[in-house]
Amino acid sequence: MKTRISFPLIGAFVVLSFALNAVPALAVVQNTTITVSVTKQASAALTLSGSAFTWAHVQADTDHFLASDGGNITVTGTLITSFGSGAGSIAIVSPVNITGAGGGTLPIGDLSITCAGTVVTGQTFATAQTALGPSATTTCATYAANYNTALNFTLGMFLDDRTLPADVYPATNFTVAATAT
Amino acid sequence: MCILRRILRWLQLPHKTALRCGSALLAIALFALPYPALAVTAAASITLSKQAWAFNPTDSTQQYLPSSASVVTGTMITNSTGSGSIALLAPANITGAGGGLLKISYFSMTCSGPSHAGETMVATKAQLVASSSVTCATYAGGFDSTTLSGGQVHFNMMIFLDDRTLDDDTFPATNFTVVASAT
Repeated sequence: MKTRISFPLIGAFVVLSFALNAVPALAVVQNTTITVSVTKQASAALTLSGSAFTWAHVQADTDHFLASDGGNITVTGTLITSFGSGAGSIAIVSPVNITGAGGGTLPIGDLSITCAGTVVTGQTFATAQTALGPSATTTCATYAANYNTALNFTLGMFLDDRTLPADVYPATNFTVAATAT
Repeated sequence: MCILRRILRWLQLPHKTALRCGSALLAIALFALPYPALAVTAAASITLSKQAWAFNPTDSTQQYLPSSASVVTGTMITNSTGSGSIALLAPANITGAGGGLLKISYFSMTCSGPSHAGETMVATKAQLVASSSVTCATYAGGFDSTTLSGGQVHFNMMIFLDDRTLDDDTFPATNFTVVASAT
C-alpha cells in the first residue's frame, strides 16, 4: 500500500497546529496566606507645659481661690481606654500638709484645682475648684471606654489664703497621675 | 507501509518520493510536538520571608505604623501576549474581642524593589479594601523572572496600620492572601 500526503494536507496540519498554539493559556495562580494580628493596648502619656505653681506674694486674707502666679498649665498627651470596658483618669496626688519655715501649716485642703477644656466625647472634668486633700488623690478628669482623643486641657491650682498663717512654705512635690485600662 | 521503512528507503528512492515522505514527516512533527519554540508556559510562584505581621500600637498618632518588610521572591513568567500580577487579598473588617472594629482600610501596603523592565511596583501606601484585592506589582507580557539577576523576582512588601482612630482592643489574627497570577 502506498501512502501519499499532499502539500495541501501538510498546509492544513500546519494551520491546525498554529491554531491550537493560539488558544489562550489558562492563568497560573498561586495563593500564599499571611496572618495579620493587631492589639491596641490602653495607654496614657502626659506632657505638662509647666511644672510649678507658685504664690510668691500672698498679701491678703481674702482670696478663697487665689490663682497661682504663673496661671494655668496645659496638659497634652495621649490617653487610650479599652473598647467596651475600659476607663481612665487624670488626677493630682497630694503630699501631706506642708510646714512652713516658721512652723506655720499649709493645709493641703487650702489648695484646689480646676481642669477645663473643650468638650470631647468621653472626657469629663471634675467640678471646678475642687479642694485637694492631704495624701489623697483628687480627680481632674475621667475617661470613658474607647476614649481615643488627644489630650489638651488646662490645669489650674488655687490657694485659699483666708486662714493661711503667714510663713514661707517650701516647694513641695505633687504628682499628676494618668491611668487607663 | 510504515514510516520507519519509508525513512530507511528515503535515501534510495527517487527525488519525488523522498520529497513526499519528508513532507509527511514534517507535517506530523509540526502537529505532534508541543511547540517548544513557539509558546511560553506561564508561571507564578512566590515565597514570602515573613507571613505574620503583628501590630501593637501604644498611641493614636500614626497614620502609617510600619511592619517589618516581608521579602517576596519567586518565579513570574508571562506569555508574550499575557500578563501577571501579585496582589494582596484582604478579608472583611475585623471585630475585636471587646467589640471594637478594625477596618481593613486602616491598612495600607507598599511594594518596592529594584527596577526591572516589564515589572511595575504599583502600591505605595495603597489603602487596602475589605474583601477585595489591591495590586502590589504587575508584569507585562513576555516577562521572565529567570532572566533577572538572581533568577527570580525579589522585592519588599510592607504593611502599615493607621492607629489614629483604631479602637483599643485585641483583634484576632486574621488571614490575608497574597495572590500571584500569570497568563
